[in-house]
Amino acid sequence: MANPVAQTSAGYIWAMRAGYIALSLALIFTHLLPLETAPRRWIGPDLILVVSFVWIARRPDIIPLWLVAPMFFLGDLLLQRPPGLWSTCAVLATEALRMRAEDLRDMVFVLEWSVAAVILIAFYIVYFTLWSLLVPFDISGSLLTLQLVLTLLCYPVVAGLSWLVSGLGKTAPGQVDAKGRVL
Amino acid sequence: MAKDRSNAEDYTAPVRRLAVAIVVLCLISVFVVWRIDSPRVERFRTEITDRIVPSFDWAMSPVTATAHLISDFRSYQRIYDQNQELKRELQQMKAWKEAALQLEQENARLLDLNKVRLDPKFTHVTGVVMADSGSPFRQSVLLNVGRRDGIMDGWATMDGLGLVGRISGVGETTSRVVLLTDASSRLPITIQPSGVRAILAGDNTARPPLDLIENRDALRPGDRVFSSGDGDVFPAGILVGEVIQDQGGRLRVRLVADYERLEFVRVLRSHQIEDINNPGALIVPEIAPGAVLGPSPADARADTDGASNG
Repeated sequence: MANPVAQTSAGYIWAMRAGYIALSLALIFTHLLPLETAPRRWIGPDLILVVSFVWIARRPDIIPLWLVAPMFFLGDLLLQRPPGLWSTCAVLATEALRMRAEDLRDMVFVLEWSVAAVILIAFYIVYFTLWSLLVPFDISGSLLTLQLVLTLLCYPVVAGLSWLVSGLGKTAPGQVDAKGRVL
Repeated sequence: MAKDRSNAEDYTAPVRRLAVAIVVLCLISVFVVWRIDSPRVERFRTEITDRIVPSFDWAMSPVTATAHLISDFRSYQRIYDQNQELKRELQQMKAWKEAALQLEQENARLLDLNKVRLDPKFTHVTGVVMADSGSPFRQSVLLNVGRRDGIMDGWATMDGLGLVGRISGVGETTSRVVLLTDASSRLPITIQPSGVRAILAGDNTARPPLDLIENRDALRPGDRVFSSGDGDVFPAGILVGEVIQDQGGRLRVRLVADYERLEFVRVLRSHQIEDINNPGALIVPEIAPGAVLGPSPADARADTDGASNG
C-alpha cells in the first residue's frame, strides 16, 4: 500500500499538520455532542489515537511531539479524563512507535500493524493499571477492552483512508526532504 | 538490518529524548497535582472548557438539532402504536387526575391548618445542555449557564421530573453537572414510605445501585427515593426515582429524570449548602473532637447515635 514516492515538500507537511489539528478538534467536538446523555454499553474506537499512530508510524517527521502532547492534553481536559494520565500514555506510546518507525518502513503491512498493536495493548494495560491504582473512581474494564479492540481494527482502515485521501505513505529508504535531510 | 543513521540524527537523538522526558514529566506532574489538589486543577479545566466549548456552539447546536430531528423522524414511523399507547395511558391518567385533585384540595386545607410556608429556597435557573462529558467513562453534561447567572458549585439540578445531578465546576458562561449515574457521584437519600436512609452510588450504569442501606428488609421494589439532605450538601425532598431489584438481587434505583434526552435542566438555588474549598475537611472536619459538628438536626442525631462523646 505504501506510496513509492512519499511527498516531502514543506507545504505538504504543514498541510498535514493543520489537517491533524483540525481532525483532532473535529473528533473532540463530535465526542462532546450531547446526543446520548444516558450511560452507554458500547463505545467507539479512539480515532484520535489511531490517526496519531498511523501517521507517526508512516511519517514520524510530520507529526512531531510538540503537536501530539498538546492535542492529547486538550482532549484530557475537554473530555473529562483525569488530566495528564491519558496524554502521558499517549506520548510514551507514540514515542515508542516513532523510535521504531525507521524499521517499520521495511515491513509488510501486517507486521507494521502488529507492532502498532503491541504498543497499543501495552498503552491500554498501563492506562487501566494506573487508573485503577491512582484514580478514586472506577473505570469500566470491559468498555476499555472493547475500545482497544475497535481501535486496533481501525488501524488498517485509517491507514488506507489516509493514503487515499492525502497520499500519506512511507518514505523510501534514503529519501530526502526539501532541505536534503535524510528522512 | 543495519540502520544508516546520518550524523544529524546522532546529534538530535539525545535532544529528542530529553524533550520527551520533559513533556512526560510535565504531564505526570499535572496528573499528580490533580490527584493531590483536584479542585484547583478542575477549576483550570472548567476555565479551559468555558473558553473553548462555547466557541464550538455555533456548529454544535445545529448538528445536535439535526440528530434529534432524525431520531424524531424515526419515531414518527411508530406513531400509530404510540397513539394507541397514549390513549390507554390517558384513560389511566384521568382516574389519577381525579384522585390528585381531591388530594390537592385536602392537602391545601391541611397546609392552611398548619400555616405551612413552602420552601422558598426552591427557585430555579433553567439551562440548556450544550455538551456531554465526551466519553462513556464519565457521566456529566455542560450547561449554558454559569457564574454570570449566579450558579454556584454544589447546587442541585433536575429536569422537571426528578433529580439529575449536582453542579460541579462553574465557569463564566458554562457549568458542569455531574449526573447521578457518574462513577464518582454519591447522593444521600431517603426511601419512602419506610424512611430508610441510604447512599445512591453512581457506577456508570443507567440504574445506579443503593449503598450503605440502613435497613434492607424494610425496602420493597417500587418504593420512592428522595434526596435526604444529609450532610447539608443537597436540598432534601427532591424526587430521585424508585427502587428496583436487579437479577443479582441488588437494589438499584430507576431514575425518574429522562436521562435518554437531557435538553433543559433546572438548577435549583440553595443558599445553605456547605462551601467545599478544602477537600480534606470533608472527611476529617477541622474541629476539635467532641464538638458538635453542625447546626443541622441530622448531624446532631448522627453524633449522638454514633458515639458516646455527644
